Amino acid sequence: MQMQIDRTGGQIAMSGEFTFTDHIPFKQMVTEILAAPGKAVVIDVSKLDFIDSAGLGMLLLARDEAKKSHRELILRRPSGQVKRMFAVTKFNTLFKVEE
Amino acid sequence: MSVAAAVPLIDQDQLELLQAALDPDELRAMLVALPTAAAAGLAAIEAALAAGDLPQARKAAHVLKGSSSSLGAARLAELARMIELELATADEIAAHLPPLGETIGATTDALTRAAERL
Amino acid sequence: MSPVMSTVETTVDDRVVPEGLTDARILIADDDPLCRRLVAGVLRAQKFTNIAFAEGGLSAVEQVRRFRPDLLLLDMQMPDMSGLEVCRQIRAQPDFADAPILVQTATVDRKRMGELFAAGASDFLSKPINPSELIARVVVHLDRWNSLRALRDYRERISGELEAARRMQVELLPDPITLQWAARTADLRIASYNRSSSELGGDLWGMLPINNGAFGIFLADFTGHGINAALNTFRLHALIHEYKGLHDDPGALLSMLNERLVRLLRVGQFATFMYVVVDHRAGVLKCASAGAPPAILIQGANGRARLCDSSGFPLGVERGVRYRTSRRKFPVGSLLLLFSDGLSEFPDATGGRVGDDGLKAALDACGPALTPQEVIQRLCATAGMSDSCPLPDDTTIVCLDRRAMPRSRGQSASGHGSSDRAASQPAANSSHGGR
Repeated sequence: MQMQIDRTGGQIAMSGEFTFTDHIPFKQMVTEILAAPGKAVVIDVSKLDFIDSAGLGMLLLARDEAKKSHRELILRRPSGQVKRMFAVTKFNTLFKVEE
Repeated sequence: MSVAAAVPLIDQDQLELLQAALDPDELRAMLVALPTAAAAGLAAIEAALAAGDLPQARKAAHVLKGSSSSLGAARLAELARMIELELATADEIAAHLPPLGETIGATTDALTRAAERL
Repeated sequence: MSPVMSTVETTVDDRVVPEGLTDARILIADDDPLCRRLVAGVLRAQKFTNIAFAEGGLSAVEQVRRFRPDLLLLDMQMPDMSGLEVCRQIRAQPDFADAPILVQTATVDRKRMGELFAAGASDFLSKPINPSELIARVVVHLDRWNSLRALRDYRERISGELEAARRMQVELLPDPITLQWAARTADLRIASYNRSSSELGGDLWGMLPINNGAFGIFLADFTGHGINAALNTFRLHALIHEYKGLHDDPGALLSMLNERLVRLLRVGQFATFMYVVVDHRAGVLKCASAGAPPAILIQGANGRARLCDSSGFPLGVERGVRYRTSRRKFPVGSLLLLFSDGLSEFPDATGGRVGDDGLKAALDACGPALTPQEVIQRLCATAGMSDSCPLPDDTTIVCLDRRAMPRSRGQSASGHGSSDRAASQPAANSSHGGR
């Protein structure tokens, strides 16, 4: 998985495959972006090809962290397998998802 | 003898290292024991030469070298090293035995004095 | 200031050997009694007390066997055996294969040194003996050896405990006799496959007998794998059996399990869960799912495989979720496949994944003559998964088959499924119903 972070814009763009092996860099990234001031945090997943249950778990953790800092977490434009996973686990109702 | 001139009788640095690392009674006992061991080594070399067993003579010299060098008897160790490694014939070795005997005597005196100072 | 200066100076000479090292067993092998005494004297002055001696090479080899030293100080040249040979013989003893051997030598011949290292020497000590060098090297090597042994002991203990835990986890799975009984009563065949990516897994499946031959089959998959996920499978197993009254009501069971798990699991942990009650008399399935991969169902002898909607919040994410029960026909001739995402998302040699649709197509290609365990083998092969390949994720597959009776009388009900449970680990395990 690759990540690009835009601190001032409060946005993380993820690409590739999001699995258990990514948990440390992802956590760091979330901590970093929540440390910067702003309102909503957007995770752009449009270039993410694959997510497993560990990846979904990390999104839940990120949502929890965001909530603690009174920020909203938005998932932007899921597609393919990621979109299907969001549908089957109803994550699309748990998170604010922008199409 | 050239060796006698080139190498000091006692390696004072080595003695100081031992003094710093060992119980004084134990060190004294070892310094006093060395001459007896050296005399036994000399006798072993002579016996080996008499039997025409050059390798055995070198082995005896090797043992003598080990204990004497570690206990600071530098010149004695150097003579033993020459017998073990440098001298080619039985005659050459035999020619080195009288100075070896003299060095054992001198070393004994020096170590006894050193032991008394401990 | 002077106090600081003196502290610095004293640390050089009065370096103390760490506690716990001084009871190490040290063997001194030297043919010269004065050298043995000198080395022992230096060690004793540093409070080493457990010292033994060998007067030659042969006796060194023998003493290593009897005294079992933690460290050997070996004179390279002894009359009966060369230091090289002593090293080789000692290294050949399994217990002493890695313990430190410090070789004492006056002659520093580079070629000889290479040979000695190759024969198993750990390090060299110069002669004449330098007491502080001797102590420093002894301490370094004893320390290293102690850490190595501690690590090794730790690893052995942990792997022993993991193995015990693994066996306990295998015991959570349905035992072959119960499966066989259920299959026979319901007049169908059951096959299963369960393999973890490491010793312990986060997958769990089970069979819950209800009544009149009806039974429930569940398949759970916790986030992640390894010990954390495995402990959660034990929790879930206990919870499921706590709510026996709900075993006939999939939606209610899932709702209850969710309420309990939401309170037990940490944020980010959850389980996908599929529960199906099989009522062969009525020819129906009652299903509820918590975000599990879709079950694949072939309805009736002429049916085509299709994916059953399995959407729902995974267990343990949100409070107050009401899971719905859906009903499906399951007449004679039907087949139901449940699987964890370890199968559909297994990356094959080219990194491709078979996916839910790929499995559906593969199931359609399986003729009715195949036994359910053959169906499972086909699906694994389609996913590119072999019994020997390592798995990135825990994988469970359960196949319920009403398509055919056992093909011959010779293949009796007791012929399969009652095999050793360990066999259910890598290979598909099956239970036959019928007569």
